[in-house]
Amino acid sequence: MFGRRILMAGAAVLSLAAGLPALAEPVKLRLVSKDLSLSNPQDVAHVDRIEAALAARGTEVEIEIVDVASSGYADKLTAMILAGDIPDLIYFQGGDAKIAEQGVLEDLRPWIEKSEFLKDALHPHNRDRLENYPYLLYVFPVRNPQPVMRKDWFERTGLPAPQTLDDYVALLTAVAQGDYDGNGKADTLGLTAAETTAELDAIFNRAFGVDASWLKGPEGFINARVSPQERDKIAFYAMLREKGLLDVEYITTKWDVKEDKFYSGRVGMILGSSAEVVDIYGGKMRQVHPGVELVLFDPPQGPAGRGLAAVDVSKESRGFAISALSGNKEAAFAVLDFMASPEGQVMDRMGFEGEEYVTKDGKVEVTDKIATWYARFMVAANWTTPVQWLSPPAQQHLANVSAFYVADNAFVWPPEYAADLDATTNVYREWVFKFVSGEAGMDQWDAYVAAWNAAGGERLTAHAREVLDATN
Amino acid sequence: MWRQWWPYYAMMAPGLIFFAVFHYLPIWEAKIAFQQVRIIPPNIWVGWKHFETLFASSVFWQVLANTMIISAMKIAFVFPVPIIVALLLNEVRSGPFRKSIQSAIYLPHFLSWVVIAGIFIAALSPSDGVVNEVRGYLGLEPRSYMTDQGAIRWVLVFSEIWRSAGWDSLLYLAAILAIDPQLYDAAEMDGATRWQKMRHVTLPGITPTIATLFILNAGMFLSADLNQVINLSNDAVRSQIDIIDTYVYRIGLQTGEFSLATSAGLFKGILGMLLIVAAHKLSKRLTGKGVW
Amino acid sequence: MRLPGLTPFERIESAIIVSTLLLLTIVCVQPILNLLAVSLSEPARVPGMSGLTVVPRGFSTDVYTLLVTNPAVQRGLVNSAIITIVGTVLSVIVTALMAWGLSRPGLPYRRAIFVLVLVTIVFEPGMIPDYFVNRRLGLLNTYWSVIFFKLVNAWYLIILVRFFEEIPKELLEAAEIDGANPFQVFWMVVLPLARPALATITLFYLVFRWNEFFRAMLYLSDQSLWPLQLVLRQFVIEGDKLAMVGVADMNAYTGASAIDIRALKAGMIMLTIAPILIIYPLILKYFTKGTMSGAVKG
Repeated sequence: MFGRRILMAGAAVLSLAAGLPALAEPVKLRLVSKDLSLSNPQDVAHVDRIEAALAARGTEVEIEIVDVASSGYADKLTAMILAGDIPDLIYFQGGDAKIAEQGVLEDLRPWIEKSEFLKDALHPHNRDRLENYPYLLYVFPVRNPQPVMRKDWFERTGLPAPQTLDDYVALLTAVAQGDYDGNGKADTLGLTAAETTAELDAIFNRAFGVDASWLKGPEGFINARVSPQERDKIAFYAMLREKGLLDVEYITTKWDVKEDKFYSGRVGMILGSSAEVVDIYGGKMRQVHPGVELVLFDPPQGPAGRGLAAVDVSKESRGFAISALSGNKEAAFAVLDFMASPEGQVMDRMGFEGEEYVTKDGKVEVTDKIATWYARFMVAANWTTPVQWLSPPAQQHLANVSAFYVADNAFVWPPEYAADLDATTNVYREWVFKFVSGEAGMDQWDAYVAAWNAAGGERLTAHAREVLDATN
Repeated sequence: MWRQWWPYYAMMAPGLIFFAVFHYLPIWEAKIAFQQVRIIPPNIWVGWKHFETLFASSVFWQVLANTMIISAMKIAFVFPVPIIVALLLNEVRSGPFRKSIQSAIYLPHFLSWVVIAGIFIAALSPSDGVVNEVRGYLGLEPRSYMTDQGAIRWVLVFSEIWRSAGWDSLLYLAAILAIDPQLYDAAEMDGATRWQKMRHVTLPGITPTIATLFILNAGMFLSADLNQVINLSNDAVRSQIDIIDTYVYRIGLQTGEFSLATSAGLFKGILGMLLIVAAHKLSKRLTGKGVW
Repeated sequence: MRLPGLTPFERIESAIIVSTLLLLTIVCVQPILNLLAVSLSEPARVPGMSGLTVVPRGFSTDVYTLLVTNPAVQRGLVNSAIITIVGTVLSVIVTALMAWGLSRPGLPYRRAIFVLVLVTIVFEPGMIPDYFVNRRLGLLNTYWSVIFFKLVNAWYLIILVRFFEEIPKELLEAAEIDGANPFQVFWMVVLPLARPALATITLFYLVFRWNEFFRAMLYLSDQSLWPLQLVLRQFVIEGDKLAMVGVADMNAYTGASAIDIRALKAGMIMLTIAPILIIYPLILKYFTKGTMSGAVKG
């Protein structure tokens, strides 16, 4: 306890000192990230050259990587921080809310305002999220699942790329009924998802008018999950399942089984959450079925609209934070700002010259190894790589995510609503499965809504109306 | 008195120190259950707030009921199986055959629940799982066990049996081997059949072990296996197999309230202790031996 | 000893017993064989492999080559060996000593100690307080933090007490009359008699230590100290796109999908089971020595 007071005093003194111009002594910066480990030579080299680049710009920093296992990362990080061992620059993947609540994380907005590169590198959803919760920075494109299918199967159906809901149904029907995997049985399913219908919602929400978490009803805001729009969408899912186009066993299908079904031909279409994931699917599909490419489809036009599901901007779920107790905030932010610069982006996104990419006659070419390189810090919105190595479906994925971006009106709930949130979510998921599997007919929708309200939905709606009416 | 007993205390010393430092010191640290945790001191006393939150939730009572039902089912159906396996194994002549069986049945214990869940989900799949294939041969309709609210608890029971029966039987086998062989010789001379020997020699011989394990299991009554439930759970059946630990874990994930987890732990602990005492007294009455 | 002839009824009984055990064996072994088959299959042919098959599709030792030649895995093996052996030896000794004391009926405060031990079974404060304690003692980032975790398992302790209590008083008194002090009695009389029980406890502790990875993750920041299980988990992270990269990172494999993740996971499991498979039969030997073989011939 005594030691902590010293820490506080020291932090105060150092904060004052930080206002002084860069010292000649290198500043020691402690950085912890799930993606950076001392035992990975690539990570160490990456950090070394960042140090060198910063030094060349006049900021002397010595970056010390704090090693935390990536399995169980959130638990270990929480334990460390609670014990008082707080690095300067911290990557969070869960567990940040409680810590932010105690004022241990720095508000990043003023820093970003004064930044040289970072403020222009943000994605639209980053700005929205920072406004609501200014402690985490995660400059990466949004993840919104989109459907992929084997290109050869798609071409065999002879159908055009699906644009409407009916098109999707026709495509999935063709796949389900044609014996494309050649095993003598028409047992291929159209579409599957992993454990919940959330992936499907990504492309079907807007088609049915489920445009946000809270929709305007006749009496005020209502939760989308109990809206008439949702009912129509769930009826659609139930119809898909009935026709064999939606795998009813999605509920017990974990992500690895989902992929297995796709590669082995049990299912024709799955959803990939990001461009990188699409490329992973593509690579594996090529390995299992040589020569087979993937094709990505746009979300369908439905009776109420079209697009990808609204993006939750209440807060970043993961990202970089700077400790408010740190004496090296300037240095920490300098690192982040540098990574947003073109020079930093080349390092973070393209890897090492001679390893992941080479420059021949002024032209940049990527090697095979680029497929295994990943950005450790950020993918700036305003910097594109000099050469494109993402496959066409992956590029389309990225393009769609920007083109169809719409912000959601979900917000962060105070902890006293946690039990209600959990209970209503369980009611929702349980009933969705009952409807989709046919155990309950859609005529029981009102029974479901009543159950939802009774499980705490009324309390949630009341609070939501207060919050949303205030901001609308 | 100490002259007589000090050697024993000397032998127990390392163990006692261990318990003091690594079990009781942390319990003292667990006073955070009553406090809001702050990194920047001081810890603010928040009192019973966490307990209130726990008991006020309507879901908590459902979850408590689930926990108790599942534990009861496990005690009734899972607990006896290793005993039976050990008894059967004991009937097989010692030798390579018996060794092979022993070397095989403990293997499932080594698989994590992630892997086991994958195996059971695949085996129980209504479309191509082996169980439903067999049902098909018998002329029965396929049944989706994993999404069936009535069946899912049995899935927990059976998967637990599969995983642990072979491994736990080892303990009972060791207990059987500790029985005085002269008792068997005497029974043999009296012309006892295999089953009579089992009833009159073997079972009484391992009753203390059974009783002890029963009492220990009673203490864990409110702690059905977290990993098992998480991996075998899905939206359709969650309401039936959600246990205290999974519920607290989920809420904790959402809010970062690990103090909630500590209060739940305290609640389970107090009740567990009461159950141990109750089981102990019951066992003393039935078998003459408790846990001490 | 000559066997009496079996009556037909007894033969049927034997047959039923044997078939039940055989069925149990098959049901337990098949999934392991399936995992083995998957780990030895060609990566391109793994998707779609059923959970029932025990025959690999194609043949490829890529998975094992990748795992065994990786320096981090090798280090992990060494660390696991150290933690497991040292930990198990310490655990068994400390547990046995404490159990012996507790099994003496006249021991002062015996009941109190029992209660205190039982309390530790039902009250688990959780990992954060444990972390704090280890930090306070300066044990973080050393083998000792992991070794001392559950050094004495209360369940095993009480089970062992049970076994020790069954030891006939006459044998102990005989030794005491011969002038043995309690330590000698323990060493020379009790331990040999309790061999099956001790073997069981040893095996339990061994397996527990070998499989434990969460505490290692929590307490050990230095990756060169990580046990095998943690190293393996680090390389194949569930659901994370980095899983593929982690794999490629492990060797000179370029091309993210050169190794099938499912096969790799299966290989990991095999690797962690293998040492136990080897040690188990050795421990089984103690299940026939000690008190005379209790196997009843049928």
